Amino acid sequence: MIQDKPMKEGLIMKGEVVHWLRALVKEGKEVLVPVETDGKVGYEPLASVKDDKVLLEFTNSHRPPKGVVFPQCEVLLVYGTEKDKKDAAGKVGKGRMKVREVRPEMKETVIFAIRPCDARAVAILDKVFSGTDLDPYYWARREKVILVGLACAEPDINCFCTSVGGSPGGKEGLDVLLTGIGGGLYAEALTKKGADLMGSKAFEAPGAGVREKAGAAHRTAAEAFARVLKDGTVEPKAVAETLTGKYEDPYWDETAKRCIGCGACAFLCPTCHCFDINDEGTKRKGRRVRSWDTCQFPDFTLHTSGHNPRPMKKFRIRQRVYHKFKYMPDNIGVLGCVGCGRCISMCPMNMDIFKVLVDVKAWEAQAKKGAMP
Amino acid sequence: MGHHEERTKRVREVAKKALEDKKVRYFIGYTHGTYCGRDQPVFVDKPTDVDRLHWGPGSTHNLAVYIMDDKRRPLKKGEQPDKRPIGIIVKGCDTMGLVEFLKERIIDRNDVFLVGVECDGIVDQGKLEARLKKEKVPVKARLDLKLSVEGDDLMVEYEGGKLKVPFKDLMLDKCLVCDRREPLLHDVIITRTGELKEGREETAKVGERRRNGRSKARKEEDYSDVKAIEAMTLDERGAYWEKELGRCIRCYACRSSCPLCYCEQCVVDPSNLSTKPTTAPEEKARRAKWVERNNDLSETLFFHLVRALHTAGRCIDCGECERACPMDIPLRKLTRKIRKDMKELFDQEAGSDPNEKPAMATAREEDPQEFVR
Amino acid sequence: MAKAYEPKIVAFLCNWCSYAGADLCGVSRYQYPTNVRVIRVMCSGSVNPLYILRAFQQGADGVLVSGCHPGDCHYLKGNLYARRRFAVLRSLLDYVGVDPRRFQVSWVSASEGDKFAKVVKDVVEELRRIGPQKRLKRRV
Repeated sequence: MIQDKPMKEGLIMKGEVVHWLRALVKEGKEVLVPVETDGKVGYEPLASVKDDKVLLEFTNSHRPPKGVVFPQCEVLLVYGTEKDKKDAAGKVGKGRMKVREVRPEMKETVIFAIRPCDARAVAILDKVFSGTDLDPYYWARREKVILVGLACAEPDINCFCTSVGGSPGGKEGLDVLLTGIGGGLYAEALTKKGADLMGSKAFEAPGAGVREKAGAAHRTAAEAFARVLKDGTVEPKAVAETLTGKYEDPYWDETAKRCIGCGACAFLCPTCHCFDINDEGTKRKGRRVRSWDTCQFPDFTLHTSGHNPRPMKKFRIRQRVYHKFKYMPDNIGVLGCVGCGRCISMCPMNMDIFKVLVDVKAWEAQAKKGAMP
Repeated sequence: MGHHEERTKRVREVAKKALEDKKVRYFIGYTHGTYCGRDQPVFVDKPTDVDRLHWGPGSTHNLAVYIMDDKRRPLKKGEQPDKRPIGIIVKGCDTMGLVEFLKERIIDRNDVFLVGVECDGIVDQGKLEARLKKEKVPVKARLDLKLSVEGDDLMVEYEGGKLKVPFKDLMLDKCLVCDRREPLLHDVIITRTGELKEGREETAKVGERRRNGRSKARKEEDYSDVKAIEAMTLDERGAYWEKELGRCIRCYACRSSCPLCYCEQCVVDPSNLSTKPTTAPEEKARRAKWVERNNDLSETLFFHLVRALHTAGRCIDCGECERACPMDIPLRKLTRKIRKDMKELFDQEAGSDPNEKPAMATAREEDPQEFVR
Repeated sequence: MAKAYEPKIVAFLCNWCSYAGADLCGVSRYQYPTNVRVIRVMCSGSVNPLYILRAFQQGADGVLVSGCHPGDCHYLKGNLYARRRFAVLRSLLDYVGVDPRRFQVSWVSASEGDKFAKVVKDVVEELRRIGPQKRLKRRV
């Protein structure tokens, strides 16, 4: 229920949206907008997009925009060796090795029309890349990024955000939330960064009842979901506890059988964040690169000794579920899944994490029955 | 066309008998998937579970991909090796992959019990979902679809309605030009009307049967997709592949989904080093790194070129690589180019004759050499 | 003054025929361009397409593989396997936008010192006209 008065609100007509965004580009910001290319939606810089190609109606982008804050490959440092030098006496001094850290530099970037699930995923990544020390590479990008969300009008077939604590009108992680109301978008600033974006004259005061209409639109969208849990939503503490006792259950072996270990699920997941670090180059010159990795690859947990604690598929499938639904809740207090459904849509063998959640909820219900006096 | 219910009944009968007689260790087949009428692979080891098996227009997957995993599974302590075959449901195209397995002597014919099902074509999930969206079938109703074939039409039944669409409008592209609907290898055949024909193929005569049995309508394979690219200029081709392969996220789904990419250690897959505790340090140090993990186009191009070359004379064009690719890269246009070259240059067709030597391990005096100085 | 473009060519020469032929070429004082870096292999059939692609990856503008004439291979059929392999590789390179003229194959016997010089001259000339190779070159 929307009860609090928002920090700043406005109503912008759909036809004015692109002008508002182009003004932001003029101010020196990078603005990423959803466009369709070859049947797939992706985020592209507005500077290279025609006005009429900016989408305001789509279910979700093919890939989550997490690459803006956590790119697939990034250089951490470069190293080189100076040329050997002869001194006045003719003695040759070996050139020193120089190491230079590479810090990402980015313009202020607005991701326009990010979906609430993907924004919530960024909020989760914020937690992951914090801790006792902040990851400097992640945060150098993250502090430059402003998220303008677009509430979902219609779910996709595999969406299940409502089952994991999210919502088509969810606000977590966003700086601004836009909701389609007739010919306009109701805009609500959720942070100061967001409020600063809404200075444009294109934003009029919303009339009476518009805010309520937005809430109603979110509820309507939530009711259209195909994937709904019968026994209530998945709560971090409860699911972590249920999974504790199921570690050795043959369920994981059964479920893992059809997985082919392709890694598509992790590479398209908005919350997956595992990475590998590799040195590329020669003794004299090269760079250190961080790139996406996935626990679904057999060698992810390969030790130098040759031992692999997760040598078989069932360990890796179990790991994926446990990481998202037990270890992350235990360690940072949030679920590692926002219910975007991309892993289900992308899997060639129809692995279905929602089905796993249905089974987990059934275990939860069983445990409750057993615990009742 | 049609009779999927009859074929399903036979599949269950055959599986039940084979499991009751303990002739096979377990069966790999198809069962209903979790959304939009698709199937998923299923592993059945009890005769009481055979009702999970079914056959329908959603039976896409090439189940041969699971064979090598089974072969390589390490035995548990004290476990005696079980010499019985595994049962697999196979379509015509799938059996061609098995022909290659026999050719390369990677399995023994008695390692598998093949239930060959005559196929009329498989539904393209992407085309089906696009059609459902076009017909404005609500998201909830798209979850549990029932697909059946009547004559030349695909019947799509959903909650609250049904659609009748010409099957060829929703078929996989590869099925539209298929000339291998009858299984080449089989221990049992289930015909398109649901009849059961027992008996193994005459393995020695498979090649001959293939050459004679090509559907009269399609004597030669249709390579118009490859020819279209060959017709471009060199720079146009370069730009085309730069655009398509530029999307590659190096998830290696193509490699994981290909039954013939069974190498434990792939030369161009840096995520998979296949080290064991017994691997000597010298061996690990000597291992050449042909590609880095970063996804720069030069690395990606190297990966795909080498993978395509390794399919020369082996790829049977089952299409799983393209289906598994989360970035919709037209991988078949690469592998089919090689397939076309193998036919034109050396008159060889992969998957047609288990008795011939692998094409790249053979050479004739008359092989073309106009390119040689 | 800017240096004119000189193509870099990596040549895999089989030990028994082509390498000997190249050696004869040198001993006979035939002139040939210095753009070629020679790598001696035991047989043209031992040249893995990975080496050829690697050469391009490292910035080679052209790759030459030279072996014995068919029928004369020291290992009987090595060059025949190579011929098949390279036909496929050349066609694939062309298909993805790499000029097939960058990958050359020749049969040069141990007594054909003059042919070796001619092959190298012709290949270098052709590649000088085409320009540097960029598509497969490692960019980072």
